[in-house]
Amino acid sequence: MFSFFKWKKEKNKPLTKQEDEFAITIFASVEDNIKNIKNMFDSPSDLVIRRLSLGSRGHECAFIYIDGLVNENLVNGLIKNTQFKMNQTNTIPTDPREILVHLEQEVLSVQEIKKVSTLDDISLSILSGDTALFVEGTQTVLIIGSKGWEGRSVEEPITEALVRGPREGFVENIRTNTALIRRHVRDPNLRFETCKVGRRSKKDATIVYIKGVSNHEIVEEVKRRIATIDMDDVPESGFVEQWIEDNFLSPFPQVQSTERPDKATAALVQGRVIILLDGTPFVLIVPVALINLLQSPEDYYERWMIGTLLRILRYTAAFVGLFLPSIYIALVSFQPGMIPSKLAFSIAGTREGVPFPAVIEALMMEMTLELLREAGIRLPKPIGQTIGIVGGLVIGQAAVSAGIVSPIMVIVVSITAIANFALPTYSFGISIRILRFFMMLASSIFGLYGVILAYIVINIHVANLKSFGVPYTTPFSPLFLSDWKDLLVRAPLTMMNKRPEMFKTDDPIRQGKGDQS
Amino acid sequence: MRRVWKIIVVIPFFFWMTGCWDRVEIEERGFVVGVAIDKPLSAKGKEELTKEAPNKPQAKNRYAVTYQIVVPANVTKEGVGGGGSGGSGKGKASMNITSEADSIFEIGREMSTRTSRTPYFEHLKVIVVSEEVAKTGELPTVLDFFLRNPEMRRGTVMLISKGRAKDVLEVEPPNEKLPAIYLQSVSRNTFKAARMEPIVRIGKLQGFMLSKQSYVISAVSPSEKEVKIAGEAIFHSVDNKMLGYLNEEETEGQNFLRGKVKGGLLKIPVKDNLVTYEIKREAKNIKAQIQGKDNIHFTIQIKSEGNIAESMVHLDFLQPNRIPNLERLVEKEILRMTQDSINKIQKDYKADVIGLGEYLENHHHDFWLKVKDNWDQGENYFSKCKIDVEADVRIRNVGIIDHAANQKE
Amino acid sequence: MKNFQYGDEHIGYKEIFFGVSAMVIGQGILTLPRILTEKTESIDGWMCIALGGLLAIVSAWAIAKVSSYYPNQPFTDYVKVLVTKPIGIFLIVFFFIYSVGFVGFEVRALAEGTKLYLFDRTPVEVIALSFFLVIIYAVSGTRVALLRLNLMFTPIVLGVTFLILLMNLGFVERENFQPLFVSSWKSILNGTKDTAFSFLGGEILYFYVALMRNPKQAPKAALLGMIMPVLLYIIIFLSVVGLFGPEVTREIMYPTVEMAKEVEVPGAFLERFESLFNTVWIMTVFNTASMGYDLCLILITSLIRKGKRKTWIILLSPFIYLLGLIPKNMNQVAKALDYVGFMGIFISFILPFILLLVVALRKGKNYA
Repeated sequence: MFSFFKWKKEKNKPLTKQEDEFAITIFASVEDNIKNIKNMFDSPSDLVIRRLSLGSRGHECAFIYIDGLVNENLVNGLIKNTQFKMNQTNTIPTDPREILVHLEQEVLSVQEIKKVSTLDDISLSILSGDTALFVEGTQTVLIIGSKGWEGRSVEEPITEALVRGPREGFVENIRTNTALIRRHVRDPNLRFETCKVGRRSKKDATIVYIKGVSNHEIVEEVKRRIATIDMDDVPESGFVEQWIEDNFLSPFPQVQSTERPDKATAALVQGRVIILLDGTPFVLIVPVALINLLQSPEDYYERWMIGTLLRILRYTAAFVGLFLPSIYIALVSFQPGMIPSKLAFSIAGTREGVPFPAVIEALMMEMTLELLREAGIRLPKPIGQTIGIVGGLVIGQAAVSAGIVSPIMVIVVSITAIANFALPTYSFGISIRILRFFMMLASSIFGLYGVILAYIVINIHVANLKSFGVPYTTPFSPLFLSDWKDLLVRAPLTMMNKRPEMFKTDDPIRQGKGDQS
Repeated sequence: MRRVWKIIVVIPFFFWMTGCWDRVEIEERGFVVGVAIDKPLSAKGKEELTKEAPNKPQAKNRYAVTYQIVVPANVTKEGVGGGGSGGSGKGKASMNITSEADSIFEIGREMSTRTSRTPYFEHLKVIVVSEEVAKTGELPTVLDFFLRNPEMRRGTVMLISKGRAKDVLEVEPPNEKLPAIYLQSVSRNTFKAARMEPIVRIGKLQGFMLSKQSYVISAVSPSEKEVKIAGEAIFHSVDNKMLGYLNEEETEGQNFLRGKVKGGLLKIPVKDNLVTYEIKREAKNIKAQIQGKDNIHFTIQIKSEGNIAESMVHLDFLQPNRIPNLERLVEKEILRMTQDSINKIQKDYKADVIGLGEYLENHHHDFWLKVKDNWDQGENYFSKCKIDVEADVRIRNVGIIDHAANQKE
Repeated sequence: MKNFQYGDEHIGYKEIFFGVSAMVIGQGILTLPRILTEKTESIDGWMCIALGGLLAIVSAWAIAKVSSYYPNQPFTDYVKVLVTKPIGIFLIVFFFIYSVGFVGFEVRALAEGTKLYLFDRTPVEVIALSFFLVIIYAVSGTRVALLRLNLMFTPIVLGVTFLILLMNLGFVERENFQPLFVSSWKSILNGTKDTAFSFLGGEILYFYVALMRNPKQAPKAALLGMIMPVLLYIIIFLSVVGLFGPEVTREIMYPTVEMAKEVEVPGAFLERFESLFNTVWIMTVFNTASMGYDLCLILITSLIRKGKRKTWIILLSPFIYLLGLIPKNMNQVAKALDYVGFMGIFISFILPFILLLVVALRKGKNYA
């Protein structure tokens, strides 16, 4: 329907253009290489070049790294160690290639070491915090893993607080994040597939899945989509999300994001795929169905009755957040006959003297609320609360006594806002907010009929929506009855023996029956 | 192609700009909660109209219709103020507007010119028709508007007023703000006191009228501060004319005969004083022996369950024979009461309001087809049939004390 | 992102089941109790529904059976093979006219009913247009999504309907259920004819069975899918008549809506249920009309193979919309729906048996 929004992509136009002149080959001479690399980076101040003469023969070599990106202790120790060890032994081979092997196997005591022979690889490694070791007389370069920049330690995620559950959250460092996942899933079939995204930023993006559990077609599709990413910078996983999502015209999030390793690993064992991006604590989970956005890890951590209750509460919250203001408008402005009599009279009484129709009143209040919310996020925390009090209490009270809005409207808007905050997924909360305005417009034209039509329209849209080939409305439609155990009711854990059928996992069985049944 | 799509997308926005045809804010509506229908006090209106426009079509009858409209501001205000200083007399929660015309719909339209609010009927609670109107048999004509309009609800309560219907809506109940809602809840409660026919909803009334059954509607008599709903008006099946009233006793008897008693009490004479039996449950069962059109013998079996609520005599209720004896007495009382009602209904009014015709229709359909047209009209087989009543009472408990408080035996 | 599919454009057993139910449950439910009590005595109308339902069930089975002989081929393909090309094309054109009329008048009927209960001054044209735009949006999506919408709405429809029935249970009067079996056979057959209109909808099987992953399941799904509305109709009929009695039911335009209006739970927050019922009603008609429109599109694109689906939507929509506006009032809409219904009766209740016969003959010839 919205085909006129489609743009044509310009094909194959290179985005990166190299300005400086330098040779793209690696020379045998250390000196030449240093010069070449200096040229390439235009001798920046944080580029450190440490020359060494090894052994009695004084074989030239040089460590090159970028200050601040490397673990300084490690590099210092490395240099010291190299000098010491090479000077101590007398059996240093003369052939540069053998020196390299000697260095790699006996001298350099580090975790990660590899040989490369292209300038591209070298520059990428240096730029990502590794140290390059050039040795005179050879065109092979040793790359020593020495990443170690300043970063946040593992903390409790702020955006997804839970009462019960692990207190750790993902951090910006992708290596820490992969470790966090590994720590939860110790399955040899856990696969990490890393690729670089961003023409200029060249960030690591890692696709994580469990082979034999995730549907291989979905995994392939994720890989394909990640491979199509062609931006110069990918600052946050949100960029990845927007690039790989199915329908950019939809208000609904088609990729789930989380800061919680437990949530991510739970998704993994459900047969979904995780995408990690270096530099952000938010990891992406695909595919996603609508109901996933209303689930919280706590549903599973607490016992099933509590989980079920919470879940029903959340469905109610989504319903209220979407419908309440529009239904209020429809009933008050169009069909007051559907309000219980006494309530109708008292609403009419409180609205007496309010100069605006209910729609305008509702829009006004909703706008105020959105502003308050936005302002509250920007301000430092202590002041943020003040805004809440001033905005919520003072303005609300004043508006009512000034007769601009009716008290019931204030109640309606507040309940809607609270319901919206109760949704566990932030992005889904925003979709509901957008659609709420859509519903309000529809109800201001046709009343209840408009609300119903708008609801049908949303349903049509959702029924057409897919996330990585998985229909967005599963397991309602297509209907997977066995998944209903984890839908309105969160069934007791011992009963949920199958993985969600809706993700069409390669391995359908999740667990044994236990001996409770 | 794309342009067409753009146009289709844009159409909803036009709706929004031109739309909102039906948007009427809730405070702009005139909620009609009660309607009273009377005959006009004088024929002046009709004469004027004839003078004004002699050729204008006119209905056979004219009515004076009173609409009770809610004044919402005053519905809520009182709760806040408590001892409102500024003239609480003016802050009535409703106002009554009377208009006279030959079409009820026209009266409604006319009302909007007088009150700045358009009438809105979704919250209509009661319709009160004066006995004057009821006796002419115009009930179906009067009620047509209230059944036809989609704004109306079939749950609206029907009442017949002794005297002018308008006065019923004029009462000022001390505890409720809206007289109409007061009437509605009073009628609900009195039903539980067995003194009244179960509430007649307008939808049910349509059923009576269409199925050609005689029916009863609760009667209400107004006074200054409150209304009394007691007794019922009895209507004949054919012409929908009101025949007269059943008094409270007879109403209760009729309720027993229909098996519709939901509560209430019976006073039984024991020794020289009374014991009160509280009815908890009641059901009836009809049997018929048909030996010809003129010779139908109905047996109505009434079953009731209840408690002893009050005893003014010193009795030992734990005595083994006491309760069966009391049960017999209650049965006797029921028989007395129902027999009174049957006499009145069958002999005086000759209108079947105890559902015997319905029973025949349901259980002796072929026979019913033969007598249908002469059941409580024409030949009036109803008045000729024999009706027996049997009662079966069970007293379930006697309360939490045994003897009455006075010790003298 | 380009849409990625993994064999998901096929439908299964459940989609057919709900598709048939949703297609059948429609406008008819609102007026059926009135029509039946007009034709029959007392509460005997349920026998008409049962008889009409039986016919509908058998013919839905027959349609599914015929269609399952030609897996992954819609009606438009196999009918030409089955009954020679000219007759096939005639049938397709006939079918097309039927479905165009069906959609047009169905939309109009919904608009009329909605106007009666929800609107006062809003023109019917606008109500119909807004509803029709929603249908257009629905058919512009994928066909599978259309069928999935049934799965989303039908449970709501059933849930709310049963809730209303439950709430009304207290008002139902036992006397209204008697006498039983007093209508003549003639009047019952007469009523059965009328229920047939309400049980139209099996015709979608001609097309949607082709989308099934496993067409062998189709006849059973169709059978069960048809049983659901039949039961629902009987239950609704019984409770409407039980509530109002036959005399009143006869007089009420939309007895089923009035039944929803009758519910008043005193003191409860949701004192009035008809809002819920309106929702449900619009949803069912939406399902019915959008699938009907989808049939139009399948038929026309098979006749004239030029043009994309969207082009045809643009070309057909104004025509269907204006067609729906032709009747002047509610009675004419009902009459128009009856005329369309007669075509529908041929397509859903007569044609399947003819086709089944032809299939049997051809098979016999092949084996001989």
